[in-house]
Amino acid sequence: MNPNDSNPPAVVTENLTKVYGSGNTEVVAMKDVSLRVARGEVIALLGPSGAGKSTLLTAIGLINPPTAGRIHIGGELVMDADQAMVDLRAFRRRHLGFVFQKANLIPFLSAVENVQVALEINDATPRAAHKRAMELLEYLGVADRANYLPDALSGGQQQRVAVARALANEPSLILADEPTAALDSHRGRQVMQLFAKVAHERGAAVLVVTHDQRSLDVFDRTFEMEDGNLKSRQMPDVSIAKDSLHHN
Amino acid sequence: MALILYTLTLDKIHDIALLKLIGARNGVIIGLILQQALLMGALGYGLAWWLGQFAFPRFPRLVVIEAPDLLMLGGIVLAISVLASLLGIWKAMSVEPNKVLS
Repeated sequence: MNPNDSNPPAVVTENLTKVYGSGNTEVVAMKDVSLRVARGEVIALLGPSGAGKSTLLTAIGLINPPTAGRIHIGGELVMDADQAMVDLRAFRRRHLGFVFQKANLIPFLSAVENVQVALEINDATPRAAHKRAMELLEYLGVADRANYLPDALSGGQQQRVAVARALANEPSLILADEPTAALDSHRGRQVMQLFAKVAHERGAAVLVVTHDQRSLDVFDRTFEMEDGNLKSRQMPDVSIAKDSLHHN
Repeated sequence: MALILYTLTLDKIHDIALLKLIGARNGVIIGLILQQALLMGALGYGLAWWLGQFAFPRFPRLVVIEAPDLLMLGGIVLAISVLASLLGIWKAMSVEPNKVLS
């Protein structure tokens, strides 16, 4: 990584490995995974259950430290094996957005308050947070549901609110783990298109773990994980970038 | 009171993990639990004072509670509320953000 690079990739992983357990119970969930994702790219991560997709996603999300390897986000080395190089919680707050299979909205807060929370924990004033939260809900087409509790929203609307929360602090990287698994195909596609829109219009990189093969055309690149190994699914020159990383 | 606060914290453990995941500082989470503890303490204190207005005149012996007593009782309630929240705070601090995924 060149620290003087003015436009560094959104995320670079170098030889990420994750081993659970030890001895006879050792399981290698992820092996030497190297990946480079540029800003504004939408990446799909496919593979069967237990292939290591979520392990990779949570490692990049700085909530599941790898056993070995490095993670750079926005040009900054944030994780070296299991050693954090930055304050991880503060880094997540400022640079990462998360979307999950379930929307994981706080049930006793309205849609707009769920988005506001993400802003207020990043030191926004309540007034500024409300304004920005409303802008995001407007952008995602759910402003008319701003004052509804999550229970009163459909699955697709809840997921849009979750995307709004993920976008709240203008993250450089959005990580989504099976975000459409609880949605029908139409709403699932809408959410995937939303990610593409967010990536292309706002310059955030989006990494989506999915089983949904029907929306793959939305993604810029597609990778597949199997037995902890990452493989490019479409383009041979994309950055499963061991070589290029070493050259850099 | 500690048990109630602990149970309320357990009820919200998923939301607390989510807050940690999206980067909330420990201070924010501790503040939420303390706020709940102090609110419960204040409610209990107010309710006891109100009930006392009716109950004390019916006591066989005269009960006199003056301002300094109320102040001292308020201090005791405050201390109990803070102490009662410690178990819930400990639980909240020990939860990992990846609990959101489970």
